[in-house]
Amino acid sequence: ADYTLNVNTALTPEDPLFKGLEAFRDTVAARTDGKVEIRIFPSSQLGKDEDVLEQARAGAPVAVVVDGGRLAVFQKEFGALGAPFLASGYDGIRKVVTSDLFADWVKQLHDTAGLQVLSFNWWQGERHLLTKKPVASPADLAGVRMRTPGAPVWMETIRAMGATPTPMGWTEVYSALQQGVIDAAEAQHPATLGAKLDEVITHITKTGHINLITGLVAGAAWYDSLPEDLRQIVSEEALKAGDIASYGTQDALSSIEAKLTENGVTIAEIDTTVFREATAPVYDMLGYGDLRDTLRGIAAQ
Amino acid sequence: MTARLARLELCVAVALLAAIVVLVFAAALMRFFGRPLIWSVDLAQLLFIWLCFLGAARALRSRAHLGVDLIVRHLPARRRQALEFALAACCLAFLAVLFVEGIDLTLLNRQRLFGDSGLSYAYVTVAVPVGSLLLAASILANMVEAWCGRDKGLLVFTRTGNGQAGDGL
Amino acid sequence: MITISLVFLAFLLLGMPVAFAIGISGFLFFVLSDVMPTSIGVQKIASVSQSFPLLAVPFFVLAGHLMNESGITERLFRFSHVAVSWMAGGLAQVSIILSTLMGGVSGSAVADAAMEARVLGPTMIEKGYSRGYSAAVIALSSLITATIPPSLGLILYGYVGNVSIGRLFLAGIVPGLLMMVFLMVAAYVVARRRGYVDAAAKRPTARALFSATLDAKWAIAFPILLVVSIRGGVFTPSEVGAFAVVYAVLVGLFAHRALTPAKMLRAAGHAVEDIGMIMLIILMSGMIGFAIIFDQVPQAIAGTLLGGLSQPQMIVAAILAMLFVAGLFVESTVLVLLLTPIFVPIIQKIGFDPVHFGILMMTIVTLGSMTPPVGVAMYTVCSLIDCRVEDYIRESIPFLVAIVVLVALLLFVPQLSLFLPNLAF
Ligand code: NA
Ligand code: NA
Repeated sequence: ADYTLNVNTALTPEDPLFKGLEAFRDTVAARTDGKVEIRIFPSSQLGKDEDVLEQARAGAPVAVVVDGGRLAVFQKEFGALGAPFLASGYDGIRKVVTSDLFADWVKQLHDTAGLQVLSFNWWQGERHLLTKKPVASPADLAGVRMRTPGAPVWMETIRAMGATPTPMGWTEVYSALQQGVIDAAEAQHPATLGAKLDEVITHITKTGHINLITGLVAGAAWYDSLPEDLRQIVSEEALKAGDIASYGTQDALSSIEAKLTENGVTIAEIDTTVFREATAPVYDMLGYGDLRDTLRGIAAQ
Repeated sequence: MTARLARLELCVAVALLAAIVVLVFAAALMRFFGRPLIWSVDLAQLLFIWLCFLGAARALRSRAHLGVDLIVRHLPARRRQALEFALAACCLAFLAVLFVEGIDLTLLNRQRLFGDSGLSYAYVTVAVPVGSLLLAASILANMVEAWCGRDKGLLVFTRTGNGQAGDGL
Repeated sequence: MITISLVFLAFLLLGMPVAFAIGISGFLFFVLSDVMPTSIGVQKIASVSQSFPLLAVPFFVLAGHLMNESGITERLFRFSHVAVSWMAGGLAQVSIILSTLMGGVSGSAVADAAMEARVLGPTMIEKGYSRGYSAAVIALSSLITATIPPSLGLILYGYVGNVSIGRLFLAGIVPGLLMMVFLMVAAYVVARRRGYVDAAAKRPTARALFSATLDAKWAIAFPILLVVSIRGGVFTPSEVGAFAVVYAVLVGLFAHRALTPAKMLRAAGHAVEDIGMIMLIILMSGMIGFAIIFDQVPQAIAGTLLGGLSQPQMIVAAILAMLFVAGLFVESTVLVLLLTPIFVPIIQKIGFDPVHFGILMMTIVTLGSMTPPVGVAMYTVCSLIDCRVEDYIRESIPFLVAIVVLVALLLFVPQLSLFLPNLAF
């Protein structure tokens, strides 16, 4: 191969999203006659997301599957993608990440941060509450230590929903829940099942408070080093692969949910209005007040 | 002068170690009582890399770093000194490169944040170039000592007289 | 990768400090690579320090030094003496029991061996034990500390191999106790034949044993508290080291009244140096670890290994044999850091429990530190006891046999390791 891209992801090969990465690898190899080789490194083998972004910026041929929060330090708007109740399901958020507005952000990220978004339509599912008791309103979460990633938008959202946000590495969550170091967590279904959290919680409340959309992000230097035609193939296939991954995830959700129920977890649908209202101030708090209506508008088109 | 610097280095390192213990212990206790501290573990992690390099520099000065003397202990004293000086030169060159590359990387990624603390991750990265300087200073000081004591068979990395390398792990 | 290995071995054998031999050869990967920027070598050094489980290293190193200063070690010694010194090879039995107890408060075999060589060695020689026998029993029994929790080796293994440290800790308890029994039997058999029996010694009275236990209660309670507090949800396995430090200080200050500010400072000073020494090796190994993953070395080795053998236990036995040979030459910390990322994916692929493998691996690689040609524990003990290495080797054979039999037993009876963790988690 003339060019190699090493894709790092925190996900394991069992995750439905992984199929999309494999499709990306295979179709890029086929369409470029093997000129571009994609290698996949699951379980964050090349480092934490931030480390791999740093490698990409330094010019290494690496890419990583990340959420908008990690890019917000370079281009603030990306952080809004993780804001609470922005859009629900894949189809709405897909419109946002394929919009012209989003294309502008991508260009700015390329120019100012040296990062190239290949595609940002890798949907991992909606995040729900994982608890050891039934939850219906923010009052039920008072004093509950809920694990969340350390990014400000997640922390503020969880706080606004009534729980005490407790940042902790994802790999520590299982034992922390089991031993009562924390009382709750929040995650999308595939991750919940992948980490076997169903063994250590009893209730999943389907709040869908965050619609987890992620992107495949490479270094601008690597991307620019490709000839024009290859660049186009890589971008096109990244978008197609994102669809494969996202629809695959969407299709897998019901069987994952069935498996979670089978393993003894009570899954509850609730009216999320109270949580929507409780988290409304988060946008303004983080400076995304103006963006909220624009993005919701695009998603609703 | 060097003695005073060494004392300062020790004080800073001990303070860092104590701070790390307190930060992590407090985080566990506060979480247990339902008031998790969000930044304390992050801060402990940040201090940790500085502790590592300060401690490593001290260990170099007291020639406590683990090495294999399986073959070289059979060499005549003069040869062995020459060999250790050559190795020290390699280490110094390596540390010099780490210093330059470390500064580069620190500058490249200043925006990167450190966990949820609002601090720049540069405070972590810059520990590598600064630590390289500290290690290089220790090696140079040892080289000077070894050169002055060359008739007594003093070495750069290895303790001579009674004993092997220090109590390692 | 071959260039990197050769450069590493060359520097190592020329006597360069291990940390620098690892650092320079690892950095070479970035220099030789057409695609990886060299500055990423710096990132890999820095990012190793940003792992929460590794904070256990400074904690347990500091706790170990504080235990010495706060009278915990001394009381454990007195307790062991009362309990078993009447047996054949009494002082050897004391050394074995003491290593087991010390294993529960500290995580380092070499530190334990060095301490016992100073405390116990001179008395053993004085009582007519041969130098070789004394050195061998002190050095080899320190192997027990490698599996009894807390164990620095298991923490590193868990961190590098992404294996639950809590499960590893629980898995080490039974193998550690079994090793104690096996070594005691070996020591007994040899001692009977040599006549290392103190005719005047009598079994302790229940009262004497009780008062010795009471005297050492804070020290004996520690490993129990450690496991209970992890299990009970107060601390994560990564945080429990900070608890160990606080515990050692509190016991030293208030229960034993042995700890003074000056002693605390001295312990911290020793700890800082030890932490720097071991952590520089660990930080520098971050670069080689990355090179191994990026060049997909595990996949290559797995291909060769799995091509030739099919039975899981045979594959693990082959890996353990390789680890044993590597352990003869390379220090155990280094082996854990460099080889765990290669072997854990392989053994997981063949369906072998990584917790079970961790116990076996730690035992084997730590054993390398008690054997020639490169063995830190062996050299430390031999130089402190003033024993010739040839005598050490000859006298260590019965103990080595006991250990090999135990490792085979642990390999083929997984429940010995996995019973406790499966019960708890
Ligand atoms: Na012992
Ligand atoms: Na131990």
